[in-house]
Parts: sequence; structure tokens; C-alpha cells
Amino acid sequence: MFAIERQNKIKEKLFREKRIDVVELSELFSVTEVTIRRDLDKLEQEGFLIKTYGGAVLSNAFVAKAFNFEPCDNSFDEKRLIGKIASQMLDNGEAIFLGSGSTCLEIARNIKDKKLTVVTNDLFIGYELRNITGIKVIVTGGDLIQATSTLVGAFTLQALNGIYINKAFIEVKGINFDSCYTVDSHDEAIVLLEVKKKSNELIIVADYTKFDRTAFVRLGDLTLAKKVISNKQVPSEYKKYFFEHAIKLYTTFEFE
Amino acid sequence: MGSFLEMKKITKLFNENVVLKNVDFCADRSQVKALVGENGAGKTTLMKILAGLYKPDSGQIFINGKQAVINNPKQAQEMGISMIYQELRLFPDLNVVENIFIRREPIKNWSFVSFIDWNKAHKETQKLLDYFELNINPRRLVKTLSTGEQKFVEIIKALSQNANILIMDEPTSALTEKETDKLFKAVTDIKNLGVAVVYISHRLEEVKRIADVVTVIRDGELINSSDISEIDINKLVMAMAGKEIEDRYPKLKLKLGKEQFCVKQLSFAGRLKDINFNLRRGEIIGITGLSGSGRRTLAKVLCGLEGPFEGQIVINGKIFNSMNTHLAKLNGLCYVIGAGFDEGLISSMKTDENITLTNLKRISKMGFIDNTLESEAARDLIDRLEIAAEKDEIVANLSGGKQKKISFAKWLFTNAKILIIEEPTAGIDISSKVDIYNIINELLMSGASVIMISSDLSEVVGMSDKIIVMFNGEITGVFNKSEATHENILYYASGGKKPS
Repeated sequence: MFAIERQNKIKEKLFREKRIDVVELSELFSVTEVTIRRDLDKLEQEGFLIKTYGGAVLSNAFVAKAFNFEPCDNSFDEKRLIGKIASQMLDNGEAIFLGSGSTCLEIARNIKDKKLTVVTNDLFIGYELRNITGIKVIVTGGDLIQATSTLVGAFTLQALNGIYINKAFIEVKGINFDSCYTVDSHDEAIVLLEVKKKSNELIIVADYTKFDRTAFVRLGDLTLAKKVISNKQVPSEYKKYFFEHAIKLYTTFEFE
Repeated sequence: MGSFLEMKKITKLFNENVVLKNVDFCADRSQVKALVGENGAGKTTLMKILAGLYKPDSGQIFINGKQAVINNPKQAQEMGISMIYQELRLFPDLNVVENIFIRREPIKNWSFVSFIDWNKAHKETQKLLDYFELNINPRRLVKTLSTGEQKFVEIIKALSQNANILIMDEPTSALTEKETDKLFKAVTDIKNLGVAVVYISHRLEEVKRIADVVTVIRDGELINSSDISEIDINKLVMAMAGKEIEDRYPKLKLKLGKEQFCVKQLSFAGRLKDINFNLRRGEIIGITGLSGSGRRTLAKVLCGLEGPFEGQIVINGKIFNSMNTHLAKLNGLCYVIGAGFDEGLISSMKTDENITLTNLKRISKMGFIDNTLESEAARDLIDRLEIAAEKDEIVANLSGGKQKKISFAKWLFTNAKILIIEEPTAGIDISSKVDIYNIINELLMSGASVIMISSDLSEVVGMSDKIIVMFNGEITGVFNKSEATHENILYYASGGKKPS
């Protein structure tokens, strides 16, 4: 296991249990306690935890932030893997758009070693990338949809005016043969369709739980984007449909 | 006035896949008709229908104006239809005469006892051998003959059955140049005897030399039929390739790492000549070519199934002058063969046993296989690859797509880093296809590299970073993903030369 993977696992565990123990972790991952302590140092720098004697607790500041986006998320791993694949599609120097949502946030977490311009309408994504030197972050502004981190409305559209995006990653809430791509609100749909106009390439990201589901507002046909990133569990009818309609479906498989 | 042989509106499906769509095909006596097309275009299927091996789902066959019902190869034979298959179909441990007259030996009756009239059989065989000016002793065992000589034995066998329609499927793929010349002379002789010859080939140079009329078939449809004098090779290639289809392959362009594998001046038994290429971490090299191009042989030599070879194989900087399967595995090199071939999986064994077979040490305790470990390991891989199968299911009962995934699982279990994958998606359903491509992506992301040997041109162009085209055991073309089109691949794959 790579250090980064181990650190992610530690984060998950910490997130579930709120506190962790160094000895326990070193046994769990079969690495020395020194290695675990080094991991914890790193996570402390990221503001994720606060070290205590023999272990660490989840940082309160982080809890406040985290509460909004993954309260009871059991497809965390799937999203993380999607983020990993998406990051492989990016070349240095590109301007990208990251839509709002936890999967797009995972993309943001995976692009920290690249040199990019990131435009986003998600506050968390802007925050996530705040300390990354290689990345220029533009948060669109706009009306904040309550209890989320999503910005929409006239100000958002205004920010998109006159810019051009190489690759836009947008997250949908439902994928279904009848209702096609759907999102939570009309305002979001308007922003995303505007993003499509500004972008060279539109890439849809959605973990497998979004398939066969319908959200509130229709975004467009299943042929809206030429690339889709999801998980191996995508129902096979969709895999077949995408292939036959010349849409590249990337799915995640996790190997050690 | 119709042709001697007419096939009308032939349609054939294999598991819902349309292989032939309303194909009309005809052939005349004293004529060589070439049938050309990409791999999987349907040429061989069409001819196997004529030879009685497959039954069409719809369509009719007329011979000499009369409707013919061909239910099995024996009926076809009785109607004077003979087919010489790509692979040899002789009995190696019988002699030439026995092979030619098998199951229809001449009989002499001696009062009430019947004997095989070997004298007569020998005389007939000798007559035919003389006719083609072949210097073969009819008493020799077939296995002692060269491939070329065996091919002639098959031709003689077909002719001695009084064939008036002779189908030859890629007859020259294993022949030397001299033997090819001899074969062409024989084909001309056969034609002059009044036989209708159907000549299936990828090799357009040859087609140009031997055929009178050429018919192009693409994706199960007849594209055109024209006189050989009216068509040049470029036009044929264009007709075979058709229009480019849209790219639908989930290719991930990874940043390539350092060289992981390299082949230097590799030659093997006259079947491979001076092969050179190198493979970097995260890269897919697609190797394609028409059948008989040596692409499979290359795979087998690389992973130690065939040898010895001349030249070098370099794995992670280590130089090898010879290879065997054990050495290959130790160095992280593996050969993924899929369903449809008799190699790769042990079809009568359970899924978990198949998966763990490649690394029994990992599931053994004190020299004995630990069943719990075995099923745990298998379960894990079955989940990871999303294989919809139980660990104790017998592999033979699973679909092609699942079998394919199991053969990936089994190599993942050895932590192979260089994968030679042969026909990764041939004959499997689309959804498994998409899975396989993404499994390959994931392998690359975890630091592996892939040599993909495939005859599916769209797949090769769609997934590879670099494409190597082979013809006759040699590399005739190398393309980057951006330069590769069906047309230029087909050009080099059918023996086209670089304009120098």
C-alpha cells in the first residue's frame, strides 16, 4: 500500500471513529509506529486531526466542514477512485471546471500535483485547493443553495461569461434511460448547461448509486457528454448503451 | 443465365451477433474468385456455410441452377464442394494415401469378403501427385512432410473427391515463397480442369496474381465485386476498411514511465524476423496483423511457450537470451489468453481453483493448499473484478465474458507487471468488453504495462498508445495513436511496403 492510500484509510477510520490509536494502526497496516506517526504529522498539517498522546482525534474544525458533504456516505471509496481516474485525464496547463458535489471534490483532492486553472461553483472545492501552489482557483460566486456548498444564479453565470474551459467535470444525481441525466435543482441545471457551452469537453462523473435513479430536474440526454466516469458496478445495460453510442465509459476497479 | 454457384441472401447469426447480412455470392467454373476482407468480416463463415459446417439462418444456395440443401459436410462433399481449411486437417500418423482416401477407400470384393484396394488407391494418388509434379512418396507419414507438402496433400484429397467447387482458406499462410509459386501453378491447373475456385486471402498481392474476380466483404456485408484487372490494391484496402467508426474506447492517456520491457532483434525459426520494440510503464502497445502474420507466435515466444529464439528480451533491464514460462512468471511477465482458445483456463475446474493456480505458494501452508485461503483469495478477486460468478462454479459453464475476467484474475493473483493480452475482448458481450478495457486501465495505473495482441482494429486503435503492424513474421509498420487509421494499418498488414 502506498503512503497516500494508507493516509486515506486513516482518514476514513478517523472519520468513523473520531479517535485513533497509533499501535492499533501500525498493526492494522503492518507498518512501524514511526511510519504511522509520520502519517499523522502530515494529516495534522492538513488540518484533519489533532495529535494526542498515543493517537489522534478528529479536528473539530474539520468536523464542521466535513459534516455537510459526507454525513452518511457509504460510497466514499467509489468516489475516491473516480477522482483518481479523472485526474489522469488532465494535462498541465489546462483550464478545468469542477462542478459541485462530493465526487468533484475527490477530483480536486487528486489533482494537487498538477498545474491547472480550476474554475468551480463549489465552496468546498475552492477551500480544498486553497494551499496548492500549482493551481489557480477561481470560485464563481453566486447564490449559495442553502445547506450545501453549491453556488448558482445570475452571478455564477456572469462569472462564466467570457471564459473557456478545456475539460469540465460535472456531477449528476440521477442517470436513467427514461429521465436521462438529472440534477437536484433547476438553478444547477442552468449553470451546468452554460458550462457545457464554454467547454471543449464535458465529462460526467457519478458513482454507481446514481444509476437507475432520477433526481428533480432533467439536465439532458444520455448522449450529453462523450465521456462518463463511474464504477465497476454500473448496470450492464448502461455499459452496453454507452459503448454502442460511442460514449467512453470509464469505470473504476480497485487493485492493490 | 446464372452462375454455377449462387448463394442468395445468406444471413447468419452467432448469439444474436449478425455475422452475415443478406450476402449474395456467386462463383463460376474455370474461374478463381477471391474473397477478401478484414479479420472477422465473415469470409470464412460464408464459406463454412457452403461447406456444410454451419447452417445459415436464412438464404438459399443454388448449384448449377438447382437449389441445394446442405446440412452437413458430407452432403457438401457429395455435391462436389471441398474446402481446404486454414489449419491443417490431416491425420499426422497416417500416410499420404491413407489420408487421401480416408472413409472412402476403394473396395475390392473377393467372393463374399471385401478388402481395401490399396493398389488402386496408390495408383490414383500417384497419378495426382504426378499431375502436380510433386515429388512425394505416397507411403510417407504425413507428419514427416513439410507444411507446404501437407497443404498439397489436402488439395489432392479435395480433388480426388471430384470437387467442382474448391474453397481455399488462406492457403499460403504457412508456405514458403517457392511452395506458394507451386501452389499457384496448381490452382491455375485446377481452374483449367473446370473447377470453380474460391480463394480466401488477406494477402492482396497474391490475390492480384491469382484471382480473376475479387469480392470484398466487410462487417458481414458484401461491398463490391469486380474484375481483378479493374481494381488496384489501394482501392481494395479502402473497400475493406470502410469508414472510420467513432472512437468509443475508454482510453486513459497515462504519463509513461521508464522502459519495462524491450525486444531486440528477435527472430524465431523463420517465423519471426528481426522484431524490435520497447514498452514503457503505463503503456499499451497494440500488435495487430492478419492471420498468419506471426502476432500469436510472437506472444508465445515472448512468454517462453515457444523457443529458442535469436536476439534478446529485456525485462526491467535484465537481459534474457532464452525464455521459459517459469522465468517469465518470475519476472512479472504473463500471457493472458482468453476464452475461445483451449489454453488459459482449465475449464473443468472451479473458478477459485483456476484463479489461484498461478500462485499456489500464496495459498499454501507447509506445502499443502489451504482451502480457506484459496477461497478467500478467489472471493477477493471475484469481487474486485465484478465477476458475476460463484467461486465454486465450474469455469466451463460460465459465459465468455466471465471466463475472460477470470483469466485476468488469475494473473492479477501473481502480481504480473507486464501483461501480454491476446484478443482481450473477442467473442464476449459488450458490457464485459467495457469492463475489460477499464480493468486494463486500472492495471496500467497500478504500474503495469500491456502488449495487446488483437485482430480487432477499432480496439487496437482505440486503446493502444503505439500500434505495431505485422506481416509474415515481420514488423511492417509502427504508428502512434494519432496517426493510426484502419486504412493505413490494413495497408501494411496486407503486405504493403513503406514508400521509400
